[in-house]
Amino acid sequence: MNSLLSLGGLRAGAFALFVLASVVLTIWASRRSRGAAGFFVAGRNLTAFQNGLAISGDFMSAASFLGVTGLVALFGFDGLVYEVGFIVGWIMIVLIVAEPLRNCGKFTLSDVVALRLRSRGVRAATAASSLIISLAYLLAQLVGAGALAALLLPIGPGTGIVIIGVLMIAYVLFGGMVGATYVQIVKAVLVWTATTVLTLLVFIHFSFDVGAMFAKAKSVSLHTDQYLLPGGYFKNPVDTLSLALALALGTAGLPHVMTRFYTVPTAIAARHSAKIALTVITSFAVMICLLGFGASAIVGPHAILESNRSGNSAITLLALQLGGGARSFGGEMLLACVSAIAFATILAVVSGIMISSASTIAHDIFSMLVFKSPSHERRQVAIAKMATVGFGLLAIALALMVQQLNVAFLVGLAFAVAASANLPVILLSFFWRRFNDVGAIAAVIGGMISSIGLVLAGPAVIGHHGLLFKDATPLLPLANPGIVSIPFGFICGWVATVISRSRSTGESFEAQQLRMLSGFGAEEAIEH
Amino acid sequence: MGVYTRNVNDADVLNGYTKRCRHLYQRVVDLVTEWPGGSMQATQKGALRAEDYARTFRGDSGDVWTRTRELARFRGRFVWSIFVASLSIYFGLLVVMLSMRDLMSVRLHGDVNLGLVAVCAQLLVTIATFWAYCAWASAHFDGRARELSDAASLAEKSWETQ
Repeated sequence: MNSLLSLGGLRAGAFALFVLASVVLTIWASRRSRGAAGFFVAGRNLTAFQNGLAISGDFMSAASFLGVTGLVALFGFDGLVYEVGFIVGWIMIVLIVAEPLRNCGKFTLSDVVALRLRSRGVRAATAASSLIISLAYLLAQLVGAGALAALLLPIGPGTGIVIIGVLMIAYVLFGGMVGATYVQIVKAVLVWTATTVLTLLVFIHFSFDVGAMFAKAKSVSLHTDQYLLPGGYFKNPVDTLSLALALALGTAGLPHVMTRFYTVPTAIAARHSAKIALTVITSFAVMICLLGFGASAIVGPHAILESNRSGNSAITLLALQLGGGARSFGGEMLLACVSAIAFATILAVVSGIMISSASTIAHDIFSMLVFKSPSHERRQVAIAKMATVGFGLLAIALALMVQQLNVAFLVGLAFAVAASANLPVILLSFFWRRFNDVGAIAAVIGGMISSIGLVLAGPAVIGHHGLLFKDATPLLPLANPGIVSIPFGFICGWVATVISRSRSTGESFEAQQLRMLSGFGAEEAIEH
Repeated sequence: MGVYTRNVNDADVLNGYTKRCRHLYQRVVDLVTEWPGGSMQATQKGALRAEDYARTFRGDSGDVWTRTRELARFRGRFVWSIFVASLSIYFGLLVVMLSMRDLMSVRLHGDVNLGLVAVCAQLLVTIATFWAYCAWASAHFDGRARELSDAASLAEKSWETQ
């Protein structure tokens, strides 16, 4: 027991070291953050390289680092389908969204849309959808952090949620976007390096014979015949397509991803940062999939399932084995490093989500809707800091309340709402001259209600594997509603625009096009 | 004196209440009337400037607007083409994977089957799409975007001097 505690202490020590380093970084970063632009978007002064690393840090979340490795280790091929879906989401971001967002945006999605559609209703609707997405994503991450804490450290899940939550609030409160970005960059470098080292160790274990690794992984898997084929995890093809659609289109509508593109000085820098991000992300995704196969081959699916039913401990057990096994110094050191990095991953991602939520509350809701005045920068920052504390405490309280429930569906819900509510508004306002305020409100409300409603009526909430009503039959067979809710969001926007009397002016569309394409009139970087 | 002061204070308080009520009423009216069709007067800096630009370039023989439309069409042709092609390949491969498991199980080398190759192909397609766009944008788009921005700046300056 003492030995176990000391080993847990080693992991806790590694985590504490990261926290200490990140706190120092945040304090340093806070001196570089001035005014509202400094707090919300790092003064639009990040380099493409810095922003690219921060974006890839957003992608390298616990869902990828722990979840996909476990999924590949237990179910093989279907884990790859999941990971590829995340990467394909970047096609939409790079080609359609990144540069126009940089040129048209200020702090939030509502600012982008408000360039043409200026009613309060549009701002209120987009702010509401952004907050719902952020809260769903934040809750999933915090509950995941609690479960991870119980798995890796000598603390309970509730304590893990509180520690991560309080640190998240502190980073955003003191460092703003600059602090959150630097924490994200450090984490991205750590995660990528750890993944590379582990992949190299797996290759060395199999004497660089990847074929032998696949053969071993398949031979020890739970379902040998279908391990390297689709259908092991995703049983319903329509549901799989629906998930793929949400991943491919939803990433572009996630508020914390969009906010990243406001932090660079130009649209070209936004493109370059996406280029760097995609390079890092793709290499990471390939390595994570290889590590999943490696975990199946070296650790074995039974040992992974014994440790954690959802397979989230696959990468940590693999690190333990590669380092020399349990009770060995190398194994425990490697496990401590990987555990600390897993926590760092969650910490950095929730800080990013928190800053985008604070921007929405302070800038969209209070400055633009309540006070109707965007000019008071100090007031905006003060409100953002209060919002950080309030929203952060709310998220912690909710996470503590639902920590015993399976809330993994919240990530899917966040993607579905992002693709069904935010994306139609972004695309239609960028590319449809006739699109108007009524259409924008209808698209957001229609997309939000359909995606949330379908999730509530589906197997994620009702039924044997659901959150509630375990004895009942789901009203709908789809756990991922994107295939219905995404077209519905677009149709709502189109129909409401066509039948409403409100007309969008051609001038505002032309002005937006000019700014979107050339950057003329775009928000400029601020000197520190 | 005491009574008089109290009366004045009461009147002040009453006026204050009236003002606050009027202000509150006005806020409610604003909120209702501007929901959803009306426009916000105090909106972001960029949004106000956009209308200024619209007024500026209206008298500029439509040159800036024409170039904007041309550039939008030019970018749209390339971007939407490769976007649709890339997503079609992704969803096409996904549908094939989900519906033709036998085909996906065809072994190509050891345990490496067609399904695994299809996943790798999809990753390559994504990267190729991305690099193709970046190369195209650097070679053909950025220069024209800069020219458009310069033309808009010139038009704005000439409008300001008039």
